[in-house]
Amino acid sequence: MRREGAKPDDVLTSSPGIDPEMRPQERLETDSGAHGITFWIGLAVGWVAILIGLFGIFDHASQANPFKVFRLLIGLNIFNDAVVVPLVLGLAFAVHRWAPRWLLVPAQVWLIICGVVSLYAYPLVGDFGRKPSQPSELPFNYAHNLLMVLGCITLFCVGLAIRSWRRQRRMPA
Amino acid sequence: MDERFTGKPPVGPVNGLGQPVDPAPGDAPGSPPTPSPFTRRVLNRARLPTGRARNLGARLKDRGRGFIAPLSARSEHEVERIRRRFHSPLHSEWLAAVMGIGLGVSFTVCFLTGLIDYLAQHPPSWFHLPVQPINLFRVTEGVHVLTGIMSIPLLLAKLWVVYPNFFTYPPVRNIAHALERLSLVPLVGGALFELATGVANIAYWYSPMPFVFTTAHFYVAWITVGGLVVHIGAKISLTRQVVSGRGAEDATLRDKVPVELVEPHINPLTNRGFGKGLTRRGFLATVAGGAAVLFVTVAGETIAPLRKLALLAPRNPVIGLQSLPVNRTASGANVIDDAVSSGYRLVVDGRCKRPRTFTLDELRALPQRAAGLPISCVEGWSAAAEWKGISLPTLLKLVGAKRSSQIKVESIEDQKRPYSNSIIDPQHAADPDTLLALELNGSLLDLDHGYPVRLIAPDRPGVLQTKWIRRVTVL
Repeated sequence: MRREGAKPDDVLTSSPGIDPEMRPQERLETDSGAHGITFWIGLAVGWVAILIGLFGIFDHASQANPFKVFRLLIGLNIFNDAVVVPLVLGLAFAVHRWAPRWLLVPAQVWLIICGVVSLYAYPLVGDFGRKPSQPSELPFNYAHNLLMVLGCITLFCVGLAIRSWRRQRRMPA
Repeated sequence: MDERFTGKPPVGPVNGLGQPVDPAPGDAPGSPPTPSPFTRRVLNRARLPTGRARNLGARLKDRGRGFIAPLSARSEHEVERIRRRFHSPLHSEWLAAVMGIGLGVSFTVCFLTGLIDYLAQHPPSWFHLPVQPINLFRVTEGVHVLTGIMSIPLLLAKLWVVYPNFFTYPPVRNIAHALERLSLVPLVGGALFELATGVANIAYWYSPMPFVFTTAHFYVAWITVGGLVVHIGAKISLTRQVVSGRGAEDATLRDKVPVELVEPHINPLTNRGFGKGLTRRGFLATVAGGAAVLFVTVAGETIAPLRKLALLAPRNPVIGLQSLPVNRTASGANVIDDAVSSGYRLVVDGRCKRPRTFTLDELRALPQRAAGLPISCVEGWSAAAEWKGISLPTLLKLVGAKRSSQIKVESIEDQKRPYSNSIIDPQHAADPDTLLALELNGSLLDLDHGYPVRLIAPDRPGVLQTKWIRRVTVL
């Protein structure tokens, strides 16, 4: 009998000495010695580098502006976890829920690539850094160029979608 | 009734097709294979609060210590409930491990090339870029910017893949785990900071950065790399296990469970998924595709064959006066009047036997040397050009200075402005291709390119190729 909802974790084996109640990842981490000597060496070396960075920022406080640097650093962290990823998850859920089967992969590919390219191009398209006195900086019409790039990605995804649609038609019901 | 609701353990571990799989080690031969405790806990939610020996809430509850225990148990229950909502196969250890390797490589390359570039731009006494190869700085800067840009999809995808790990209970298991999780703040925040400020910098968008970009970017890079080293130390064994197939997922993938269990939307008959979304490898390919699109549309600002495809590059190396981009204009530097003045003189002094002052005509009358040298900007673009002017060793010989002297060149600009002067190390000063250039691409220097005289030397950052030179001092 097939157990509905069975996960690969169900059939994981655990090594001797590993608490069988742990989650698979915890079991793996413990089994692989996640907090062994490598971890402590990495921790020591890593925090030396972190302290070099912190020292540098405070030592050059007039240039680095520590408060604003850390505000941006922590702010981006929170923004990613609290806004960006949930938004992406919501979008992914919506696509998964409403896109027809044959369109699912092309839609996911389109959203991922277009999203990343648009994110990179945002400051260019917004012309935030353009100076009329400096024509060789940001020399293109980036909104136009971004549309061209997104158009190429769309064409590629349309090709994927057509292939996927044909495949669905060939599949038995 | 479904066995999940009876609280009884299932008969044994089975795969998605209902076939029995190998029992866990330790099961007695002949006896029904014992299901994984994890499975029992997942399937029988009634046992959740007390199921785990490490559960702080359960331990406190056993001791009957007040209200914390049920609260804690409830928290675990809630966290577990949230965590189980992430059932996409893309939130997988294998994917996280592979992307982690990719990010580790790209961030290491980015850090090392950035370190070279920062030292080249702010050279301490012990560091000088070599004169040859003349394109070294051009390559390191180009690699730095391009790997940074290509890391954007990789980083965002990795953060999405590991997002369910955000919901773990208890949040920390022990001191080591607490330190490991604490080190994620500098790693994730630093990585996002580096990529965000890097992109803003190449787009000349400085308003979101109320600090000096180079200083903040450099020191936050140390913080990020520190977090990365801690993370590598914590995850290297796990990554090795997962990627080499000794980890749980790949063990199930290869030996124990049909592929559709690991990737539930894979058709077991054809081994190809259809209609359930991207597979893990498909997701990886898509992320790589995003990075490739960014590479192709940006790299042309430094790789000539890709120039026509550089639709999203902040620069085109052939767009600008005399077919060369300009970073700081003469009007922006407020030097126009002094630069075009008939009273312009170049002063050469310092530790030399015959200090001299040259008019522009006298400079033109000196022996001229042509050199094809790149100009490479710290923002990632670079372009080769033909320069013509007085070789610095020739000038030093003329004024009776040692060939291998350290030289300071000063611009007409206000000397309080950054990069209004620069130091030339002895190796560069002795190189015949280090020029005080008067011409660019066959015509007189344009005012925005440093008329009347500018420095151009092999393998130096563009900001140190001082324009509108008025004084050369032998140190």
